[in-house]
Amino acid sequence: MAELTIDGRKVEVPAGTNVIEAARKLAIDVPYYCYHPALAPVGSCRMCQVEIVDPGKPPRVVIACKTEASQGLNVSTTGKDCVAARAATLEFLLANHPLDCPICDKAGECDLQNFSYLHGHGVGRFTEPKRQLIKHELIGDHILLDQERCILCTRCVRFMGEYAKAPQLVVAGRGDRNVIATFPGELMHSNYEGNLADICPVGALTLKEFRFKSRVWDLDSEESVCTLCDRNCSVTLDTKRNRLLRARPRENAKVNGWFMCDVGRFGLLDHCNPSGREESGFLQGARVAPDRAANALADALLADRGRWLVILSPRLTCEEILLARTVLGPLARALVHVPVAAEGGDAILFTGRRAANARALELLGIEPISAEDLARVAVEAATSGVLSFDSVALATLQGKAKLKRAALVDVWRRAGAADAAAPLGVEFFVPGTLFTEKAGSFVNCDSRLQRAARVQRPPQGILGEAGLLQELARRTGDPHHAGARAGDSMSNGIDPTARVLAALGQEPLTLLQLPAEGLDVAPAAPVARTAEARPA
Amino acid sequence: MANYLSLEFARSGPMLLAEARGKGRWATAERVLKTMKPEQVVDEVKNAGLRGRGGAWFPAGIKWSFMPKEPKGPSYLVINADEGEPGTFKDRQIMEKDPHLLLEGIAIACFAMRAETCFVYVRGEYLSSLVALETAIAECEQAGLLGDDALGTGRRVRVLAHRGAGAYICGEETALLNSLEGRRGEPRAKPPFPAVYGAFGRPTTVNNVETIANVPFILERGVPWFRSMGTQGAPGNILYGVSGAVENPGIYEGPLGMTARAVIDQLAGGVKAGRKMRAFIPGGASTGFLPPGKLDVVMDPDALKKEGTMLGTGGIVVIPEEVELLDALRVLSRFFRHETCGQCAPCREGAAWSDQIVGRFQRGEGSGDDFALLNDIMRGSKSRTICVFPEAFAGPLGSALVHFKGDFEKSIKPASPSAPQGTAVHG
Amino acid sequence: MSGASARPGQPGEDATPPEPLLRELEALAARYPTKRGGLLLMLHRLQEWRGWIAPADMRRCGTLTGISAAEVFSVVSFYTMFRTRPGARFPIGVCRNIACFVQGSERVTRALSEKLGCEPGGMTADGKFSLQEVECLGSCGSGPCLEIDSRYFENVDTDKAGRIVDRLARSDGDATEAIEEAAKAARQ
Repeated sequence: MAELTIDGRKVEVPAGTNVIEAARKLAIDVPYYCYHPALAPVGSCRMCQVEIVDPGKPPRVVIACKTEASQGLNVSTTGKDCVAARAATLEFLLANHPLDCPICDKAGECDLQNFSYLHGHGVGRFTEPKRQLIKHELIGDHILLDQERCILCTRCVRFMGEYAKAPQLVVAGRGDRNVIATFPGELMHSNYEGNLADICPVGALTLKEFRFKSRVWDLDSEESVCTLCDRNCSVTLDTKRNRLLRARPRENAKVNGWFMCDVGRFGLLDHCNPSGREESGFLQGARVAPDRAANALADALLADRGRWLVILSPRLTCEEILLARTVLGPLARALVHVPVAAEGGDAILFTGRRAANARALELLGIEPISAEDLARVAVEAATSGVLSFDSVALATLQGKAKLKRAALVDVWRRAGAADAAAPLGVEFFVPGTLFTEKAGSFVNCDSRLQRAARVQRPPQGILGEAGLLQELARRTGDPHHAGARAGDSMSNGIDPTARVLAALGQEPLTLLQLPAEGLDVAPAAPVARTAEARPA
Repeated sequence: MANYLSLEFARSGPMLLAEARGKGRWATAERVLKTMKPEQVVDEVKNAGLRGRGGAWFPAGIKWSFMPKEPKGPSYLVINADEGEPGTFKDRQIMEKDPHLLLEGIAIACFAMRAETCFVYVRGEYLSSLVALETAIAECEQAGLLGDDALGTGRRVRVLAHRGAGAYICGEETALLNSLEGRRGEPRAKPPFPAVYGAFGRPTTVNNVETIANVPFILERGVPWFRSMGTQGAPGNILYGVSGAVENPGIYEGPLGMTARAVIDQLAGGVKAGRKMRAFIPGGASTGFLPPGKLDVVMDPDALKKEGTMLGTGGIVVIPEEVELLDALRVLSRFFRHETCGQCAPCREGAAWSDQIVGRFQRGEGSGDDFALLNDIMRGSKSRTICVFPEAFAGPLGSALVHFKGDFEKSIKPASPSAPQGTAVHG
Repeated sequence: MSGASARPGQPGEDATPPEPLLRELEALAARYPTKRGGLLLMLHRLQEWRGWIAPADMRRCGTLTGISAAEVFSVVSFYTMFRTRPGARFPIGVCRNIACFVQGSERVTRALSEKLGCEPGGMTADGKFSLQEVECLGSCGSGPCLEIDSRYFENVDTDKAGRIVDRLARSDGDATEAIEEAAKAARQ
């Protein structure tokens, strides 16, 4: 460890920590561009200049990113030399910078704006002709490049090389002819491009999917997780007028570091703004209000106790899974899930297993069943019908077996306007909710439980999975769930998340009490399965 | 005979091995490798006070002593033959006329530093030097002077000639190392220094051609001999370059410590007949301009530093009166703008911006506010970057503003209403 | 742009390097402690053969050195000597730096520009000559100096420059041989 002094305050850090990180521990924000905690430091932007104070000697201006905290080091971030040095750096960077702020997506979250305000001296003296370069050119699947705005911090180049292992972005030219570029005529292709728009400190690299969609200060931002695979990267979801406009990674050392993959980042945009979403319920082929379909389905389940086979979905929240186990367990013939294989994962973040909450299904003891065994059990004499919360598993099942009766409770997207029949031709269809339309938690492949905030309102009239389960709870007289409504975070005073954590053998925290980085819920002992847990 | 470095420079082509050996080349290397210890060689070079002739004048023996005494893996010697400093053309003479002098110096240096491989980084344009060097290396390998059993000592000394591709910044030692590795020639932050992390991540020493060329003579004739020439702080001879408006431009060997006037008049025939000097550059472009009144400055690194300039590579350029100072300055500001690697914002923007301003003055469109601005550009970039390139571009610019301010003042555009209101804004 | 078509005596953009050159490139990748160390010499060899460095050349060097084609492009674009478009048969570079400038290099450049009928930075219509101003060549004591494919022509005044161009314009064999002959003649 080393103890050093920054602006008169002492801090102790592990030996080898750089001064930027040491200052951060004191909530002192040393400004920087080229530095990034995920990448090897370069020291070229000259923004993080601070002073080393040695008694009896004039102060030395150094760059904080490459200055290691050592015992007794005395640093000033406010000395007049380093203040002047930082102001000079900004004047140099602004010299050729196009003043695009009024049309630049980065405005409001731009480090050139922020540091100019905090550390610049407010006077620009450059009156020569500015460089004119490429503006808004698509250089990858998602990224637009504006070479004029670029301050050549090279974070993007180093990110693609060091993190994404796809060195397709480079600096070309020399001196004031330097530009960021790809191999001439080629586009970048990588599953991590979207991160470039986050790490670019200015508006040189922006997302085409977000271009001109909104000013960032008009967005509502909430913490959530990505549900496109079972890594469950921590994210921030930005919505405006109930539409998800942007998903960004949120820093979480225990899950995803600083980044997320493009499958998730852009998959979420599509997932949470589903085109052709079916908003009605269906009952015996007729279009009905969702709650009418839900009531009829509840009737059917109760009339035929012990004979409906229930398939749960890895897209349900932990709270929904536990509620289903509590309420449907005693009612159904069996409660199962069909495990999803991982396909096409990379060695970085994307696992390839398109089943966000698969681990929760395992930890909460829901019996896994193969598609083949499911097809066999679904048509046994003891089974009178299949209720699925998982449209993918149901579609596969229908391809293998002719079901007597079928019910689907899930989000469903129409392929085209002409398609007006009940989804998958089921007898009962209750439209489901997106994960963004309910507060809940997810457990990732490493058994980490994280909260997902509610950020969107479902379409009018859709009460979804929880609505059906609450109705069944009410009818079966379950006192813990009577009177509760879909997506409700409180239910007779017992928070559904706390209930989940208790079921997992953890301290029963509420959703809002969960730490930002999530909770490790790896089991100490083997988990009991629904097949064994079902009362005889 | 006082001269020792330049005895072969009048030749039209390189001295081949047989003749070179006849003149004594390689004899010292053989004796050193067979009878001395590496530490003794380092001490000898240290005691001789040999200072690097690439421009920085850092004591070579001290640089050599930074190399590991018990290397775990390869160490390298790299010869800086990038010679890009305008006004400098001395290393070329050694490579093209007396390559075996360089190779012999390399063998001794490698031995002293326990390096088995030397890369000679020759600037891309110096095709003649590269060919002469490659021929000489091949001769040495054939004769067993270089290779796995150099000079029959059982030690390996290999020399590989490498070629640059046109970038002045590759004369900076860490940029040179990056270029050698097949990268952009961008300087590296120091620390780590090359002796710790150099070529291909290995301990490395980078030395100038002329520096190494002195080594065989030091080992042959001894420290007192070397120290008997030159100055107390910078012993030995130097290859002065003299170009521009002089009678006999060329490379002239002489002791360190001559005045600039003596070099120009006694070695290069003086200012060209019928011309008058407007300014002179003492040691290569980045050392800036001095007025004729300063001709008695002593060509010694420490003396010139006190004068606010540098000895650099000792390449004197005489600017005649027919050439306007601003035109001469513009040639150099355009050069530095072209050659900055561009990594660091202050240098990338500062070199370009100051060139644009000089261009305006050249057109008679200067402004009174530009003086403070130019000084702020220099102050905002010197010591504020990965390497000392800003110090280089500030050489001509700063010295011109100090010694030739009148040339700027007469180029101010009268009554410019839109000129920016500026005083010095940096503290 | 028809720039990619073959210049007189040079391979076209689609031409593959001949076997001996490919062997040389492989040898260069093995010459240094890392494969990447061979990159600059590989690029020089390819440019000597093709007259410029084509995208296929950059891809090939990337494969040989284990880096991406984009990284090779990044290196190529840094160095003044590397051309990424077809070059002229005789690419002339006139030093414009301080010592040559003081000795009249601008006059030489202007004279060549008039004689060739192209501006500095440009190429003659028949692709035979190009003219460029370059930085210090290290011939300060014998300026003005110009280079053609790194063969130096020193102490060049406007007359001598004209004679060099005339001699080269008359040649029709191998370009390198023609330049070397002209350089030898110029030294006499």
